Amino acid sequence: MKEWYVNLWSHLTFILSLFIATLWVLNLLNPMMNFLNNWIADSAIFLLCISSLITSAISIWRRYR
Amino acid sequence: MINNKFIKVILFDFIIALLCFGAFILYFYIMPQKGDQNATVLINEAATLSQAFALPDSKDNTKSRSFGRKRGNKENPGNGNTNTKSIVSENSSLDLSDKINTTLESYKSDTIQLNITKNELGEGNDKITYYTADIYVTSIKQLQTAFANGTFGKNLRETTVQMAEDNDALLAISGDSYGNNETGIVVRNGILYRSDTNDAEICVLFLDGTMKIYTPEEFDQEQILECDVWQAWNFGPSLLDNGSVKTVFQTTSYLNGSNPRCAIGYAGPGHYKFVLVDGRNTGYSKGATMSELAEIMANEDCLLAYNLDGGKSSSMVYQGNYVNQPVDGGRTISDIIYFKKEESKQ
Repeated sequence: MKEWYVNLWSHLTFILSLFIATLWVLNLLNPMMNFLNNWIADSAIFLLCISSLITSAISIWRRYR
Repeated sequence: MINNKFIKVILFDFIIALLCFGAFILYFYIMPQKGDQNATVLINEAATLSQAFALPDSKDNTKSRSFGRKRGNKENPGNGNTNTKSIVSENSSLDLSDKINTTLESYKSDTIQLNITKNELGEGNDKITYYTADIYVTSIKQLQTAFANGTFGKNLRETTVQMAEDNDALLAISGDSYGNNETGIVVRNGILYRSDTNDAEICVLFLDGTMKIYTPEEFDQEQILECDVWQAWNFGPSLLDNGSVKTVFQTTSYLNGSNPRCAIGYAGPGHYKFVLVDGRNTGYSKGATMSELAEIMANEDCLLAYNLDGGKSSSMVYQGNYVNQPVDGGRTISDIIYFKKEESKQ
């Protein structure tokens, strides 16, 4: 598997995690602003799940190949 | 051992995440977007001719009440709120018996009577300055709301003064900043613009002049919207429970700090109070916590009170001029609540 392809997913996971964590903290402080209750946050969470799945699958596959 | 390349890559990822966040803020909280203009009229023509309230014969400005703190029943806090985003009302050191009040403005016509007073509590760093507008109207149609730029939408903003001028308002206060959110019920002047609810409590003003505050769980939309809803705000929290300070407020600790506050109070059909607490200005006014604001509203003889958007948004305008001193001169907001000079002829 090409290295850049593997890296892409880990970076995407890192970026999305940071982004969602920031929204989560802000939403905790000020829920009236609804930082998490919108389609962008929903999409980011879904994308994070996908990228986490792929990153972890690659990691597991590398360990047992 | 952490090498330079690792730090550079992580830093690059941080910057990308920051750019994503910036784009998110720009899209959701800065770029003006027109909302769905397919609004539903909730009030029928016959109902608009309904209630007329009497103005009081003479305003008793010296009216006072016992200042002992009335608190809600501990065994039944609030409206049965079980939301985890709630805080317990603390015992504040607010001494309302030392209140110094000065009447700033009085106005009386055939359809509206109002009195604006400046109130000062405490001294030094703990001083709180707030303004109360005590309003009687003969028709609920005089209590109106307006959107920035006259349009329902997201991130559309104007100052309170601009909106008050555009709508020929006698008195205006900042509203619930509906435009900061994509959810939350919005009923303005009998028109339903948005019907979904969120975690916030909902304040409903009916055409018969009564006000009720619902938790999202209590809010039966179909049933309530059939009852001639004139206005509905979605911010909160609710501060009083039948005239007593609530024991639990549906808010977070962060939002409960001493801040400028804006609240609407209900003293009976046709009788309302706007309270504006200034803040973030040590020596003039430190602002109020939810408990302090609730105590102020209870002291103003309100049966129900509802917190509106505070902070820099808090502003009260009378005849085109700010009554209070908004933080940093105030900011642009998405909506106002106002009283017209004369009864609407619509």
